[in-house]
Amino acid sequence: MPDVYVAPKKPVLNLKFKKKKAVRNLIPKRLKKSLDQIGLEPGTNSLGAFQTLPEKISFSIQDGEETIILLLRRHLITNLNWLILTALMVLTPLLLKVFPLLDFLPLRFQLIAVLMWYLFIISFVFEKFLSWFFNVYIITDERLIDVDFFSLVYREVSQAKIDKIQDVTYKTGGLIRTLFNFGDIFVQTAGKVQQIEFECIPKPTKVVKLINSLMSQEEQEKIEGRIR
Amino acid sequence: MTPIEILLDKVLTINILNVWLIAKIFVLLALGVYIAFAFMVAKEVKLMTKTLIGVFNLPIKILSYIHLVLTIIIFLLALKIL
Repeated sequence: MPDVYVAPKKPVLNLKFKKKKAVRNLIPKRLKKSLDQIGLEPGTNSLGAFQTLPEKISFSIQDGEETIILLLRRHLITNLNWLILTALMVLTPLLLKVFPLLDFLPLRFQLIAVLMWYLFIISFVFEKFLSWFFNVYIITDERLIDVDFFSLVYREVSQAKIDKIQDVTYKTGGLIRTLFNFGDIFVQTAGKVQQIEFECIPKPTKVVKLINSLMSQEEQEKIEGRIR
Repeated sequence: MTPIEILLDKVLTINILNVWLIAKIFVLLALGVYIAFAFMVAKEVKLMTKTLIGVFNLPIKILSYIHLVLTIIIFLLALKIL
């Protein structure tokens, strides 16, 4: 029996290009214009400290229609302290050949001592990485969110709606901060959480410009009566 | 010697073998506490990955389990060779 209808075959597009375009197509025109003016392009580095329109990232209290515009972490250079310390700790057992501090122990105890030392280093590095990776600052089209894990057992999530923001201040100073372009942003709000701090984030001027742009857009939406 | 005197003599005599046995017990206790810590780290990673959902969640969870398994392996090794 002949087919009633045969659908035309669609050409297979480059999926990467399609995804990037799809991400940009989801955001409103006004926001797209703001991002272009500030010079923010979607990136693909999931381990980065500054991610614009990150893909495949969400957070537990995110609304269905909410879009993450920026995902920020402390600048990578803030990890230098513990990285250097880790390198020294890894090399420390080699000093035992020069300074035989464990020679009074039987060989089996020395082996276990060295293994326990390296296990401690692994835990130290893992904990520092987790602390950097999961302490994030998120800017969506509706609010600012600060996720803090103070230790392995204490978590604090603060949020402030864009229309409740009263004042935005940024601070950057010192040789390292100027060289690597990172600083602190302080956001004063009218809500229960009076101040949200974004510490040691990259490109603070661009972030402040974005927040100011979002605040203008919220005011515009209020005037036009398009409150979500 | 009375039985009590024999018992006290055995307990109070510092035998070199007893010292290493005590050291082994302390090492195993420390590793036992460390296993509890590694377990807590794995639990906390689970909580963190629920808060921020992303591409790297699965590799980080796997790393936390590897860390826990490594700790258990070193505990068993200490139990065997010390």
